[in-house]
Amino acid sequence: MKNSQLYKGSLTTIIMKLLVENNRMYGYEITQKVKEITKGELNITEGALYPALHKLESEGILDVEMEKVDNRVRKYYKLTESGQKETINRLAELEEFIRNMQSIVNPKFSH
Amino acid sequence: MQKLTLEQIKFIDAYLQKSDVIFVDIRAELTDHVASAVEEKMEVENLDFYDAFKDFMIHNKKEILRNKNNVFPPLWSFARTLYKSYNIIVGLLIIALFYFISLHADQQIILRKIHLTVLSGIIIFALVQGIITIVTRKRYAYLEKVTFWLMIIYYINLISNGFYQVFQGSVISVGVVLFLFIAFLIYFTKTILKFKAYNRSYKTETNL
Repeated sequence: MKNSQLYKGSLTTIIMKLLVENNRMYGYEITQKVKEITKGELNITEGALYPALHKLESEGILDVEMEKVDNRVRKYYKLTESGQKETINRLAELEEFIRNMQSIVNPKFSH
Repeated sequence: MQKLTLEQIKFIDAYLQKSDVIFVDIRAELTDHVASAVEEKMEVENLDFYDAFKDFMIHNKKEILRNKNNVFPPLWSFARTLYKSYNIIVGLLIIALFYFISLHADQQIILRKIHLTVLSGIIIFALVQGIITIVTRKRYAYLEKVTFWLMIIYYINLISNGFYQVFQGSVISVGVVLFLFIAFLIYFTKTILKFKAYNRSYKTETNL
């Protein structure tokens, strides 16, 4: 992940945002989607992705569905009802964080 | 896009198993991840399976295997079930039961028996799960993380009601532990049913 420390705190919010837009996704699909959206700038590693997904699952934010795909079983993640509400809160927090960072880094464009 | 054969999927699963990915369900997820990446590599870079697999693992093995056996206990998903309607009914029944117990002359003897029953239930539950793991030689993160709560209930029981021989519980403390234990059993049963559905599809579809 490029500048991984900067993105680290936002990983779960990124995952939740993607799941809002795509309903359900599997691990590899999430990594590829992020790569595609950011034109290869952001690369979510497996070592960061799966613990984040499992943590969100254990918190009841994500639910899982298993499905047979091409000789193997695929685990899809989707937001639970409370996960959808939580996504709205976390996105609002992230937007506020971005605005604050903008004010500090580039005050001219912060309004 | 070219799809991997069952043999190639089994090869990836065996590789991850040799790399100490101990939980069957976590391995299945990583197998799908590696297989998806290898299929894409075969297509984009025009490689055969072994070259694509080797190339992918050279660059990603460290990340794939990082946190491979980390299990997150379902902290909130169990806690949230405590105020579900079925547990509220269980709670009300327990309150009624313990109200009558509190009126009974042999209150302490009855409470002690309930305490020992719950304690035995927890120990038997943990033993059975341990034996099943040893016999089947398979470990599932999905199931093991649920038993985290059993441990918590076990310690709540010991701290509030006493250590084995020395019973110090009250109507409230024994009632709370009994409620938590029954709520756990319901939660575990629901988890098992969900897991069985996953496991059935996992076994029948992949034969792994």
